[in-house]
Amino acid sequence: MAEEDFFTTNLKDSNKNRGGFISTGIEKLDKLLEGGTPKGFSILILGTPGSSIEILCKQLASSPIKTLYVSTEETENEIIETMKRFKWDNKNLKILDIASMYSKAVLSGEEKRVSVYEQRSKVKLKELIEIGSQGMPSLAQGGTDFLAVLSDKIKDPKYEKLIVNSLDFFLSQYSQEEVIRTLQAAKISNLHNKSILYIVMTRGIHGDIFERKMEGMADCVLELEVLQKGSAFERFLAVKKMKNYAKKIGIARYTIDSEGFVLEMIERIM
Amino acid sequence: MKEPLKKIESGQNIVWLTQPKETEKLIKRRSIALNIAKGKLNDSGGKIHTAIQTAEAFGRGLFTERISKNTKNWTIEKWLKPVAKEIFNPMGTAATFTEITNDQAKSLIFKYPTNNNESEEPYMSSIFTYGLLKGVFLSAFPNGELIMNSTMAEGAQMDEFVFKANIENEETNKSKMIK
Repeated sequence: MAEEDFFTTNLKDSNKNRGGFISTGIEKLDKLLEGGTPKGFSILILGTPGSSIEILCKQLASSPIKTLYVSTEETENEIIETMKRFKWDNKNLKILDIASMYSKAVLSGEEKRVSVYEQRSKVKLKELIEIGSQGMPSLAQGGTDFLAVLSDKIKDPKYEKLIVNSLDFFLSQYSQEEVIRTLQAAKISNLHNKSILYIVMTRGIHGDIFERKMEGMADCVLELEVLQKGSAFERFLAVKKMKNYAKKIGIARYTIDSEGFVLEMIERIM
Repeated sequence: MKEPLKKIESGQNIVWLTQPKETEKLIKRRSIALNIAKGKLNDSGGKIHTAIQTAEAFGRGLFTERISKNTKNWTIEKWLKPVAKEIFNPMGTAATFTEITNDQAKSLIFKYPTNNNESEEPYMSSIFTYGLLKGVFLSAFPNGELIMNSTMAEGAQMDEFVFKANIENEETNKSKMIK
């Protein structure tokens, strides 16, 4: 079968069989989305440091359905500890801990924790940079191909929800074309499996063209924004795109309390 | 039109010097990326690789956008000129390149591509510069290596880097020599 035919057939089948919504696990976000996200959707979450995007990811990961969390910045222990602190259930959660796999390659031993703040006085910056940059992707040196690991895992049909936090890691190690190709394949699998794929990416690093490509590829785009108003910060979660559901485009102010994301003042844009 | 690199000859030595001239658009993007790198460093409790990765991703993005992505057969000489023109110069990077061959070059950087912040935050500037260079370099040379020999953040007069285009070849040559 020609590549185009394969793609079209899979899309048609997936659309035909698709039915129902999957809850985000956050009541008011479900309300903003009017019932959650349609099965088979790929959702891009854009944010910046300080927007608490990592908390949103963990809250999304606390789910009654089988969920795979691909973590590139936090270790499994760090994720579980935070989830416990918020009292979020993790019994259906499987964590693919790329952060630890990476750290093993990067750290030459447990005694060398890669912390600029802790080690600045003890270790030379040059040495820290060497430690912090080794081991990736190292395909030429026979290291782990983390993009291939991601590609393989996110096709697994046993997971109904998949969270990749974050794409930044792969974009620091692989070309944008390679990452896009992997995500296109993941999107097709996701449609076929009728699962939900969340992809987290930091806005402002990868270039406008790439960001637009990603937004174009995603079925839904959520953006977390932090605005400074005087000495205070206001946080907003915007639904910027929702394929075939224009009515769901909207924005909500949010805060973080002991139970996680609290959305307030939902405003419809369309 | 001004060349992106100025050639200076001294005896048998040839030094290529960047011609920094900051452009607002790129400086703005650099500032955003630098702030994100700082944010990630803070959020991660100081894990240096998060900041390096951010800068590296930024470098890869710039390379894809601004340098011809159709060229496959890069050599360091071919890589250097467009990178100086499209990335180093518009970011205000002051640097020299010497001992350029197809596979290797040495560079001394005496004004970071993060120049506004270098006096205030030398560590961050050094980390970000390393990541940025690595992203721009490995985009063209996936089997390459970037080595930092010294940094202004630790009192050196300049940051010294060695760009190696293909460490696989180097390993092969070494093993041939051993045999």
